[in-house]
Amino acid sequence: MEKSITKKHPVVRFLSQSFTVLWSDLRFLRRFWKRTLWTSLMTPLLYLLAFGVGIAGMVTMEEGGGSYLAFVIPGIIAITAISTAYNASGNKLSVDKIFYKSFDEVMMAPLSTDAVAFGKGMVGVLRGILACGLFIILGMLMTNDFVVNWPFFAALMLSLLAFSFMGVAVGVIAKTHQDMSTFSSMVIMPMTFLCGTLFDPNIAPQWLQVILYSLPLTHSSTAMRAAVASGDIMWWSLAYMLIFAIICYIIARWQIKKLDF
Amino acid sequence: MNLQLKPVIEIKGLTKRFGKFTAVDNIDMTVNECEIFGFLGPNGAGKSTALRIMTTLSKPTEGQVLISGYDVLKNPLAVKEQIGVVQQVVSFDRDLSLWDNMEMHARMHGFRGREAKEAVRKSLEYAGLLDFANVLSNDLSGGMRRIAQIVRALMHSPKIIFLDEPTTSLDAQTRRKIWSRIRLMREQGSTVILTTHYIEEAEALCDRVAIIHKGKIIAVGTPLELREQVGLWTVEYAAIGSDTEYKHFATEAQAKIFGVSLPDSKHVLKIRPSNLEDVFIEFTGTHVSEPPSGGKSLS
Repeated sequence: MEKSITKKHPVVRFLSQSFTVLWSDLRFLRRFWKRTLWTSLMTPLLYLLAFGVGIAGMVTMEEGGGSYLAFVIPGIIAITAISTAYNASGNKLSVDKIFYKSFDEVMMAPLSTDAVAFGKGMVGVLRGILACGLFIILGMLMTNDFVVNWPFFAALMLSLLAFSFMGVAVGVIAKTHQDMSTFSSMVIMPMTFLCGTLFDPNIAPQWLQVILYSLPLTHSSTAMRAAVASGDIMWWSLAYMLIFAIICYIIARWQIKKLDF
Repeated sequence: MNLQLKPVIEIKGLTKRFGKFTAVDNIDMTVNECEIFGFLGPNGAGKSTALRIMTTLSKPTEGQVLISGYDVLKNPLAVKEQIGVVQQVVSFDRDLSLWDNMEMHARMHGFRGREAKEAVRKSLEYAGLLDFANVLSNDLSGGMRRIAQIVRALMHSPKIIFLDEPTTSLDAQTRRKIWSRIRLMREQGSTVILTTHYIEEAEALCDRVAIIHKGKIIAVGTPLELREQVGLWTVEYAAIGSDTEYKHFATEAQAKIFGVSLPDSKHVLKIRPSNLEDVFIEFTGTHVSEPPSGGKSLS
């Protein structure tokens, strides 16, 4: 029953190995799909209740600017994308590495570093698609002003890729579960609130705008919002997120390659 | 037993440092095909660290490790295709069932679809765990997980099998079952490298043993060769109220003569064949069960 998996075409081998890495997480999803979906949806639902329903009544939008609900839904979807993708990729990987030691088995298997990095990243993308997909349906049911199109999906996919690979990189670097929480508190949480998800970043002071526009989530939320509001394609933001996703992937791959147990 | 002397593992000048602490200190050794080779030493001696380097999990600070001719640093993928590893710690995804953990392993080693399922079924059947296939691996007993880990590592028929403390904390019956499985692996053409701090295990299983202490290999040979180095017979004797002393002799007759020649203040406790514990104490001055002083426990 001896197998050799190095004789396939490189692209086929990469895709096959990436799917293999993803496979265990698909089995996890299949076993715990209800719990996983509810966990992913709880935070955005609370944001929607607090900002979309609660605060929306107190906010007056500029004339022709649509409802605050339609304004805030793309922002909440951006938050869902970042938190679901980052947590799904990063937390599971860090648990597998630190507590279960099952990541050791992946590292000792004849799988390429690229396939491990990509496969682990796809967990976050997949769970992000599920959570954001449900939220998009909910948003469309709540307001007629929220209409999605391909630039919106492009921004969403790039966000999921970027933050999934960020999760992989942090999950590999983290030596304790506390490291994951620290990164989440110091980087993910501030981005969630500040990156134009719940307000227009252009109303911030100039110096703060410089900081905000250097953060990927600002580009994610503004690109999604522009797509929904007017169908505009924010090429610069899409390019920024693509570059950010590639950098995160390279860091994740590099960290996996230099892992020393 | 017909030992072939074709080397499958060649280690030259292997050193691993963690900061100022040297876990593995300039090791040179060779393991031959179809051999059961044991690393014997206390916790923290550097056995597991050496094994982690051979299995590509850790990187050497200095030196070279060749597995079937492939360098662990330059060609890790080729090395990984040759090996099966049973780690000291349980390495199952505890959120998945036993079956899913096994199928994940099959898939990572190139099995697909029905072939993967058949390989898993055979492995679990052999281990007597088929009835527990759908149980979360977290809910299995320690012995079940250990046996499952071993059959998982063998599923892809690796040429070289690494076992890190394979029987630690197992009951005697399970330990014997695992020993017979290890012997079967060798008979089927695999090379087995295991670490242990159990003297009985090293003597019962290993064709050759490397005694490792504070990161250095201090002796290598068959259990008989190592015992011959200190003497095949041991006299345990003591004066009243003092610690037991040991003296080793080449023959039983010499040991008995020493026993009767002891002064009245000392008396013989036991005359017995020497074992690897005696070898270890003779070379290191400590027992295998004692961690080395000043060392950081790595196991």
